[in-house]
Amino acid sequence: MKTLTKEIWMDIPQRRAVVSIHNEIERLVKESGVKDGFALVNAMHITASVFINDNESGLHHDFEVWLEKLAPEKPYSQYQHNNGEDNADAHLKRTIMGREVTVAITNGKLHLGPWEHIFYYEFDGKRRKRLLVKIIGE
Amino acid sequence: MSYQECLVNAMHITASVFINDDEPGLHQDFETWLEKLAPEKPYSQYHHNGYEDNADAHLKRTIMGREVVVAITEGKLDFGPWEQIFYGEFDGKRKKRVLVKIIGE
Repeated sequence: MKTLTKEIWMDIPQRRAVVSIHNEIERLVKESGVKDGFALVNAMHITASVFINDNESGLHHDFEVWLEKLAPEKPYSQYQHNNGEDNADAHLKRTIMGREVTVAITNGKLHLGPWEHIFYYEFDGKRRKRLLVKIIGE
Repeated sequence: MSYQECLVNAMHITASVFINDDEPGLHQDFETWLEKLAPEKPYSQYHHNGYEDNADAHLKRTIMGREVVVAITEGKLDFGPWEQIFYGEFDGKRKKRVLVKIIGE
């Protein structure tokens, strides 16, 4: 069994952003030498997400508007968590978008459907945060 | 002792694979709930709907999830008492795929 473990640092200058990590994950799968296996990609922070969806800026805008409707950032005082912090909405938004993806690796490549693209979603940025990539297989 | 893991994922970004109850009332409740959280119409409310009309399907799939990873222990899916695996289609009327990948010893 082969494995590869890598932490990727993110440093998003604003509170929220969607960032493609697709090419980096593809590169790590190649580096791992795994032909048949799984790649786990997860946010290591509980106010960020890793998710798979469309690489289309209109949809990313729709996610922003939708998440802000479901879990508004303000007023900060509406959340009990915001006692010294202001990021309760980020915990809720990340819950909707998910923590991780597990992607199959077949013939040494990510085994994806036609439009699947891997993204990192930051909900409480302006600081350095990490992603974990763990690849296992033969 | 043998141990494997089974990944089941939608290969399309407007569909879900999820685990929940095999009970039609709950499935109707999912429908109603998802439509409230991410309404299909008016189509114009979403920027994604320039040439397409399926922005709501991308959002609904996000709530229900892309994939499940299930343990296989001694040759069997290692489920809790009521766990069942479902496919959720949010933009059908065309052929779409689900990927199943099982690895282990």
